[in-house]
Amino acid sequence: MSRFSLEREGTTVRVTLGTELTVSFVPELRELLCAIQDDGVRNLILDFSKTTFLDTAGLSLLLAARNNFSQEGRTLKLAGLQGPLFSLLETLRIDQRLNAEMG
Amino acid sequence: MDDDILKEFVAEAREHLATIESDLLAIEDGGADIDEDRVNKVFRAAHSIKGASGFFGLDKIKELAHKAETVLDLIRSRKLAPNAEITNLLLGAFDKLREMVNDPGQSQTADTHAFLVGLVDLAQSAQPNTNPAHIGMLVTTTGTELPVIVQDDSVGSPKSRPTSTTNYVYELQLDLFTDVEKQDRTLSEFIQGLQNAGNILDCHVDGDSSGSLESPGGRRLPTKITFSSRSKIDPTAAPLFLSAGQVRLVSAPTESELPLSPESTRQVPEPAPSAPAPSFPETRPAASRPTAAQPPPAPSSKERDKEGGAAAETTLRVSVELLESLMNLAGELVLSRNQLRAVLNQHKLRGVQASFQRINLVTSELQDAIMQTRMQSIGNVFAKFPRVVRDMSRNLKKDIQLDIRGKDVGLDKSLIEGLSDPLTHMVRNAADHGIESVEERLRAGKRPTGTLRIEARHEAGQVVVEIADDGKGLDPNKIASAALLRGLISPEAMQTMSDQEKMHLIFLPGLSTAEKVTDVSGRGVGMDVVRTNLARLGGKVDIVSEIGQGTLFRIKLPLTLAIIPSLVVSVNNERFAIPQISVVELLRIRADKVKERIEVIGDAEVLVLRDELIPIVRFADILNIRRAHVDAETGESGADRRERLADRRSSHATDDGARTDAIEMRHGTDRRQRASSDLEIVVVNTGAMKYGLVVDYFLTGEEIVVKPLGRHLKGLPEYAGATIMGDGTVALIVDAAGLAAKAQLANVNAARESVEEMDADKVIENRSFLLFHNGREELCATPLECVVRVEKVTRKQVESIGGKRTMQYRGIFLPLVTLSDVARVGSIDEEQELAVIVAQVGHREVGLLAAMPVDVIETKATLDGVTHRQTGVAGSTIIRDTTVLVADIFELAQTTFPEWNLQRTTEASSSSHSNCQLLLAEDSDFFRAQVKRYLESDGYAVLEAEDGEAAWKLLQEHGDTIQAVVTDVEMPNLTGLGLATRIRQDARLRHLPILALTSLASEEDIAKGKAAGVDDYQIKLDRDNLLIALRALLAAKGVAVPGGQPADVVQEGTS
Repeated sequence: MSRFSLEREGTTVRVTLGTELTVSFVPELRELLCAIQDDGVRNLILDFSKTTFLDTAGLSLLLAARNNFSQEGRTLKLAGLQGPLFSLLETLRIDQRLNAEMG
Repeated sequence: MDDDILKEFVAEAREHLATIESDLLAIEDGGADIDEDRVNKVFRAAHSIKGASGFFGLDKIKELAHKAETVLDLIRSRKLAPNAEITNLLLGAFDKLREMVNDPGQSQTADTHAFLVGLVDLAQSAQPNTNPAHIGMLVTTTGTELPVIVQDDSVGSPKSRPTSTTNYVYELQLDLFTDVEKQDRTLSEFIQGLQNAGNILDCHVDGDSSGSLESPGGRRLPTKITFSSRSKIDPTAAPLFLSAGQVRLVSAPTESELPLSPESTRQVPEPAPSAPAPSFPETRPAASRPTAAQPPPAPSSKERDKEGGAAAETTLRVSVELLESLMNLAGELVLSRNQLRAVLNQHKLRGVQASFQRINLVTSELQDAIMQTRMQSIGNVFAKFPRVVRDMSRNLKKDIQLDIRGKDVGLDKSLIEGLSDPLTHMVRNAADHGIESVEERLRAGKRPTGTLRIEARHEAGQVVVEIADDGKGLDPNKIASAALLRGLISPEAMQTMSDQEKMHLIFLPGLSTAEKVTDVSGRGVGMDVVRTNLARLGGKVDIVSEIGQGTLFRIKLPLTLAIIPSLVVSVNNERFAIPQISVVELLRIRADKVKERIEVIGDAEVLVLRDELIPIVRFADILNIRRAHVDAETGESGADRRERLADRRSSHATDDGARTDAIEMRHGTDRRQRASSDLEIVVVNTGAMKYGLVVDYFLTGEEIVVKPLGRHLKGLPEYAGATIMGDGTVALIVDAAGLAAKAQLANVNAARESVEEMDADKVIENRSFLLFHNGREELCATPLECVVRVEKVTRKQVESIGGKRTMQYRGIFLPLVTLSDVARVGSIDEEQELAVIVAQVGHREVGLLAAMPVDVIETKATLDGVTHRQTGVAGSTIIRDTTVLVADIFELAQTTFPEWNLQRTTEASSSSHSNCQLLLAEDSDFFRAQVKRYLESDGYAVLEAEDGEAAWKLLQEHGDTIQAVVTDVEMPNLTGLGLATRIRQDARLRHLPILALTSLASEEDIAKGKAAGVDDYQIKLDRDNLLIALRALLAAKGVAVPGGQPADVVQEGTS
């Protein structure tokens, strides 16, 4: 089965990630996000409620996604972040940039 | 935050920023001779942006505007003389401001460090003892790294500056990939380690280096961390494990008496009282400090354009006066309506006429006034060219003088927006490729300074924009040769082309992408895009160029897109509108002059127009309708029997006597003498060519409102849209260029089409064959895709044991067949050298014995499946003028080894197409293309449908050849589940495996799908699982899957 699940409502898509967002999942997620963007999705919500681990490659992908979804009225939101992950983003001062919310 | 106020701020700030560029450039030009008014204007712009952004709490914008204001103030008070460096920095800072203002939401995260440092440093250089309240404390890092500012005002968050002087403050420059991830540490561990050792005061992750989703930035994530610790830290030890160069001590406890280096002489000005005053050492010697800090790398012009382009304006300022006149006109309209109502009640025709006139008048005025509100001066587009040309001439070391005229020409807002990119492109091309370097110009005996003229003017209800340079000019023959080399035109076409046509070749897409060609032609990168963009605006481009003298691009544009003047013509009682912009002239050729004016060359008709020959297109032929003539006396229309316009009824009589008779017979009442028999021709210009369009009648010139064509008529190149005529009927608007293409007039379009045809052939027709010999004179072939390998063998290797001919091959016995085993063909001679063509048949391999030489050939030749067809021979084809028998290895094996129970999976297995065809139904173009690629990459042939209904239709037509259905669930017209239900109810189709693709696969959805007959569910872009699932489904149904690697289920019985 796929490691991500998608819910779509109009121009909003919520992608729920697996337990970790690491280098091995990045290419697949990148492809998915590209497709989502090209399919006219305006608001992307990445659901981190199941995710406990993030590595640099994952972080880099999030920043790239943010670069894409901050243009032309699109939005990106990181939802449902668990405490340790949220504080990691907070420490790196990118929580606001990535529009991250605690779960 | 009040959204409306914010919007207003953005609109106003943009307005302020819009003119700043030209003002700054003018200030730079003035040098020490300062134009106070201009400086004041820019100063005020910065000042008001600062004020408003402060109000909204957009601190980063405020801060940058503030620093720019400080520098401008210094210029104003003549403490700083503007030079190129200063202007660059200010331009860059205002660019950054524009970017931030366009997206206020993200402005807080924008990286303005570099600009701030540059501006602050500049201000300091001018005023060493300036009031510190205006200038941040500055800490400059070593090397080329960007400096850090520790802010002195209340802008920064408390976290972002050292709050205590009892700590060591370090600045760490690292890359999260190389310094953390590759050292076998996780990100969390590293951060945790830092936090255990001290406090992370600030952190800046360079998000830009992550690139975008489409183009990831590579494995780099530079990060700057400001970190404080109570004790001194060894950079190379835990928790950092960095190299010494990456860690810099920014401040040490004040009580510490440890100056870091003897050079730490430069004192930062006293900060505001809110922040304590650490003594910041500087590692770079103060003496080497330039007057202005390193300006940040200026964004490339391309990036700048992108930013500018992304921020299309959605609001418009309209003068109150204009609004009032609109209001008045609206009042007039109300009065006219009342008048009309009154006269209608009185049934007075005269009154109706009077009120019609009034309404007519008001409507035109209203239209004009509304157009006025949308009118903007083209100067808005031109405004950025001084900067573009300035930057380019600096980079290219050319001397270019820019001459802009006609800034005040008004153009519809939508046109202004659409014009920006193509014009910029052309200006850039002119500066880059058109105008030569100073040396070249001098060598050519020209003035060293090149001139680039951009001019706009009104001309005959159109706007003409000209971009002219006095550079090297376009060489039509070089362009044509380049096009010939690229296969875009044929040698014959090249010979018949005029210079004008040759120059227009630069608009061909194929030409512009080739790097070499660009060098040769001097122009061309993306000129096809320029033309497409202009065409979208209803514009046309003309080129006038002389080698060595320069090039002129003349763009003609309509004033507005919504309402265009047009000529209404009639063809077979249908009305068509031809935009006036395409119309060159109208000709009425008297019936008795037709023969003189129209000539037949080859099978094309041409019109003799003064000293020109121009091709003729008969509109009726294009529309495929019966040509008609209207009998002048009876008014009846009948078929026009002339084959050619030049034909007269008597024209088949070639000898003079017969013709005289004919004329005599018809004299007096001959219809050729009547005006209604005259030929009416609209001469139209597509930009690249002129041609005559023969219509039945010219009707009238009319201003028409352009409506787009509906979806069902999309893809008809000959029409640009439709309009509704006064009587309520619809008239189609003719696209002159599209019509020419449709008529296949010999010109650039024809060349382009032939290229497209060639490409299409490659996809559909080109097939590769393996050529081999059977008998000495018998040339045979087999489609290359059936062949696994070809082995040269000796006779000894061929064994004949127990009636079976075999060969030892890679440790197994390879069964061998020859064509003569089953077909009536010659046999291989003793002396011929042998080859074995190894082919995959079903799940086995079989060797076809053939004679050398063996060759591979690609051909478009078609297969004749009748004349030479026999068992083992699929048919014949002609390759290199020789008849070639095409062997059917599958049939050969089938006939020779009936015990193998071979069954062809599809008809297509001997063709070049894949042998497993799927139907893919998906309404999203993107997902369809994506999934199709996945499927094709795995060897399937894919039929596409854009919804369930289309899929169902395809199934009705091609049900026999489709092996499985892959469908989206949510689709218009018929959903995937609906499609599945229908398939399961159809006796012919119900065996088909159905795989549903979805992005929403809840348990419930899956259950619903199963109920409808879906065999499996897969996530849309999960390529691997999709392909695995598909293979499993096909295998379960006993269908051989492509790619030679059958799924497990069908592998039984293989060796």
